[in-house]
Order: sequence, then structure tokens, then C-alpha cells
Amino acid sequence: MSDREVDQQLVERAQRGDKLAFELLVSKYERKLQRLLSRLVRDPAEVEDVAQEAFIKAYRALPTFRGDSAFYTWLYRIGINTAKNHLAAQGRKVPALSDLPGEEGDEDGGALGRDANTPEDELMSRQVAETVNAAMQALPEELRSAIMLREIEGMSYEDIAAMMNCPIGTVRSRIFRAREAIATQLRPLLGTSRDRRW
Amino acid sequence: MKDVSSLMDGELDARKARSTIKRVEDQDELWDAWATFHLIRDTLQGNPVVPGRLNQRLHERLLEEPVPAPVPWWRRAGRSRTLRVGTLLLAALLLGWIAHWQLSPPARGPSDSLSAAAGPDPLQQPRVAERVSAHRPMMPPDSGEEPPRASEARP
Repeated sequence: MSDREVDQQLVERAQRGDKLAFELLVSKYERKLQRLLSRLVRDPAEVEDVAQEAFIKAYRALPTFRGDSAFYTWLYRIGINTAKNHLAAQGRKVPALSDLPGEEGDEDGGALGRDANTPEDELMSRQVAETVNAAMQALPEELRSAIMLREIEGMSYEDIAAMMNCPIGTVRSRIFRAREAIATQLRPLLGTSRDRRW
Repeated sequence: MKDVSSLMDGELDARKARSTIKRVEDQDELWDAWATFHLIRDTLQGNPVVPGRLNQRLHERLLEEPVPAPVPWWRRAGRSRTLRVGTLLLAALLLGWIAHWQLSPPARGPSDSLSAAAGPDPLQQPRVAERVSAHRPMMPPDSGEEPPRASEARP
């Protein structure tokens, strides 16, 4: 089941009333959407409000989502429209169509990339980035290569297996072990799972 | 948790993926893995990484949201590409058949007998009338007598 099909599966569960499935989609796309919105709405505090509004609109519109496009493509359009409405309601300039960022945002992280909402957020953001980078450096070479090929290059397990000259099962295992090693370093920063799950 | 890692990479088969999604929803440990692994992905890809606050606020609002109205079955069916292609083909065939039926010349062959049955008296048709007259006894056209019955005509 491809990444898009996993999203479709989560959408269908949410359409049947499973709110947790929608929250898994939020957990997956919240940062990507905020990065996109921060190109339009410069104030980081507003970015979070607009992102929240976009997700609520998406949730209400779920029955109309037919799966003709990827879930994030659909969410991207809702996010852009929500941001434009937000700016228009405040009498601020709405960017021209050509100025709108693409689905992946731009290289610049936008307002959220430059400075986070509060000094605490900024500190937290920096700590997370530093912890991930340090954990990556501490990984054995084969784990680091596997997770980089997956997360940075976006390669499939099959392609990584061909490149690293090993079975797909080994790739699956290496990527998981790399993630788990990094997550172990991150957990003290993020709190317990119960804290993070309301 | 290994399955969560494979799930987020789109590398599980459909059945395993469905069961893993269910387990992620049910088990805190797997939910945590899902959230943390995506945070790691976003960090490595350069997305801003203020962790999870939006999700917490959103959760409170989602609790108040009514469940979206269910999707009618015909719209669910409309999502299936196979069904959509099948329906289109069926519609095209039906239209083609209707167009053919309306534009084609009158049918020949066996159906002629059907139209003839609804039309003029078969006895009026020349060949049929000829064969019937062959069975009538010979008599002057103006004799005014009825033709004799078969039994009377015999000696």
C-alpha cells in the first residue's frame, strides 16, 4: 500500500467517523502545512491559527473528498484558500497566483523557519534539530545511509536495496532501527507519549 | 513499531497496513512512534519542528466537531476507478446500441413475417391468393351458384 493509499485509507476511516484517523493525518502533515502557510502569513502566531482553521475545514469537507488527488494536494488547496481569506478579512494584500508557493513550499522555511512563535518554541525547535542531527551522526554507517536515502532522497525500499546491495528486509530493518535510535534521543525532549496524546 | 516505520513509507501490503493503522489508533506506544517518526522526517527534510502543539489544540476542536455526514454508497462506488471505467463502457455500449437501432434501415428476414401479420390480409397477397384459388372448383364467374361442397362434387 503506497503512501498515498495509506492516506486514502485514513481518510476513509475518518469519513466513517474515526476522528483518530484524521488526527494521524494532522500529525503527519501539520508541519508541512505550516511551512506552506508561513510563506503567505508572515506572523508565526497567525500561521498556527490558519493551519488549525484549514484542518477543521478539511475535516468538515471530508465527505466531498473523492480521492481523485492526493490528500495533501487537497489539503494544500484548502490551506491556500484559508490563508487568502484570512488575509482578505484583515484587509491585507492577498498574494497573486504566481506568488503562491508550490505544494512542497520553498527552500526558505518561511516565518516558522526563521523564528518560531515564542523564545521557548524557538529553543525547542533548535533542540529538536540538534538532537536529530547528533543522533544521525552517531548512527552506524549502514543505518545512516538507509535513512538518508529514504527521507532525503525519497527512494523506495526496493531501490535502496538495489543501491546498498542487500535484501529489502534488511533495508526495512535498518530504516526502522535508525528511526528508533533517533527517537530514543528525542523522547526526553518531547515528553511521554500520554502527554503528547492529550 | 517496525510496522509503523514501514507503514509511513508506504511499504506494507494492504491487509497489514489496515491492521497496523488500527493498532496505531489503539496503542499509545505506536501512536507515539507515528508522531515521532514523522517529526524526524520533517526535521531531516527541513520543515519547522515545533512539535505537536497544533495537534493538541486541534484535538480539542475536533472533539466538538460533529462526525461528517456519511458518504452515500453511490459516491463511494464512484471512487473506484474500475467501477467508473466499467460504468462508462456500459453507458457507451448502451448509447451505441440505441444509435444503431434508431439509424439502421428496416429489418429484413424473419421479422418480415411479424410486420406482415400486422399489415394487410395475407389472403390478399398475390401468391397466397393464387394458391387458394387453385383449390376452388371451376365455374362460370356469373353462374350465381355457390360452389358445390366437396362431397357433392364427387360422382
